[in-house]
Amino acid sequence: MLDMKLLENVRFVVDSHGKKAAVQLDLKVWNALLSYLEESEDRTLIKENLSRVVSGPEKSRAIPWDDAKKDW
Amino acid sequence: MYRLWLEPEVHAIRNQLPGKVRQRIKKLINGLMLQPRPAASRILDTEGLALPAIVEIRRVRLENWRIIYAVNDNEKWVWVLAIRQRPPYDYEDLGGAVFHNVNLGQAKFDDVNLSGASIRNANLENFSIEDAYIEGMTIFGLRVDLLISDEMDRRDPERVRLRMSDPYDPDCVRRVLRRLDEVRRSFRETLLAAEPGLLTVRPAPDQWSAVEIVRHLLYAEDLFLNRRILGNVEPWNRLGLLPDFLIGDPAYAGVGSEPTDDLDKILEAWEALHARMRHSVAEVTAEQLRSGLRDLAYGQGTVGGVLQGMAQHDLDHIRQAEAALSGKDKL
Repeated sequence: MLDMKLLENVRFVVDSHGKKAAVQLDLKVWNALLSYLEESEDRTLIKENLSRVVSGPEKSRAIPWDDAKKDW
Repeated sequence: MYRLWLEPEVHAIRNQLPGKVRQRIKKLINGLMLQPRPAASRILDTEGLALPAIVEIRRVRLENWRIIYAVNDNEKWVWVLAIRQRPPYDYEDLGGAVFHNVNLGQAKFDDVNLSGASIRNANLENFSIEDAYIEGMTIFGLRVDLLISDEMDRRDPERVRLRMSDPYDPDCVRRVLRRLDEVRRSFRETLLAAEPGLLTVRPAPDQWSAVEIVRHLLYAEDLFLNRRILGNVEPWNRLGLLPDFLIGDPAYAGVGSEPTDDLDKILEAWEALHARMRHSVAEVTAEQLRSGLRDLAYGQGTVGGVLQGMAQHDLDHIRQAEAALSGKDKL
């Protein structure tokens, strides 16, 4: 879960009219955002493939590593 | 041993992986058969997804790549579900591109994936390849990787002496490591006899000096012994030197944080680590040599495999250092 307090310290870059044009993030915030997005993406991956994961690799026609390895 | 499976998407994505990353990911995936829960991996939160309790979803990172996989201990399988990259993406994908009637003269390829690529009707005069993984490479239908290996063995018989006929036979392993000790002793004498000013000279801007190579060997011994074989998580030795592709990886934070050109200090630290390695190997059994490693992020799958890799790695770098000191190209 992303700690929303981290986002309280973002900085805005303004254009010549004083209008917000971009956001600057601390590296810590950027990394936290990426981690949150990755967690979310990985969860979605599992959710979308849930029935396959439950059925197991053989029934889901996954590729045996022994067959694939030579092509790596 | 777990049966290992790949999602078709994972198999297809291999062509998009940078060359060095691809080989490391291959080793990592291969290692999951023996150790499906390497130290660098962690379980993913799947609460609320109605997954059977016997299926565990895990993730392991390799630099800015992550591998998501499922483990089933009851049915003994590991299933690699996805490989994802964390931005920024600095790898341009030209996989499958066709270069026809183009001039690539003087082009330089660095950290590229050319596996499965083919070249026909080309002028390769003065073409050179260095520091490359060439297993299965053919020229005019000939397995040049095998020819090159034979020729390198002929030029440097030490390569043959340091090759284990059976990395799971304790006597064979100890014999090779005793020989490696002799090679190291001779290398140490060469270093100590060298003109001090030469020790820190880089043969080329992108090549290490002799002292940098010794610092790298110190790091490697730390990696082989503490991380891979003993599974220790003690802090990295600060005198070591990482290969370029690991710089910035948080898993290696601390390596090289106290860079020094003090050869005596580096050799002393290396010897201290190696004494522990020697002690660890003195009583090693066949069963231990066959055992899986605790950290598979960058390693062969067994203790015997790591020790074989260490012998080859050390010799290769020792020859580089000797070449740097003599001003000649390696071999």
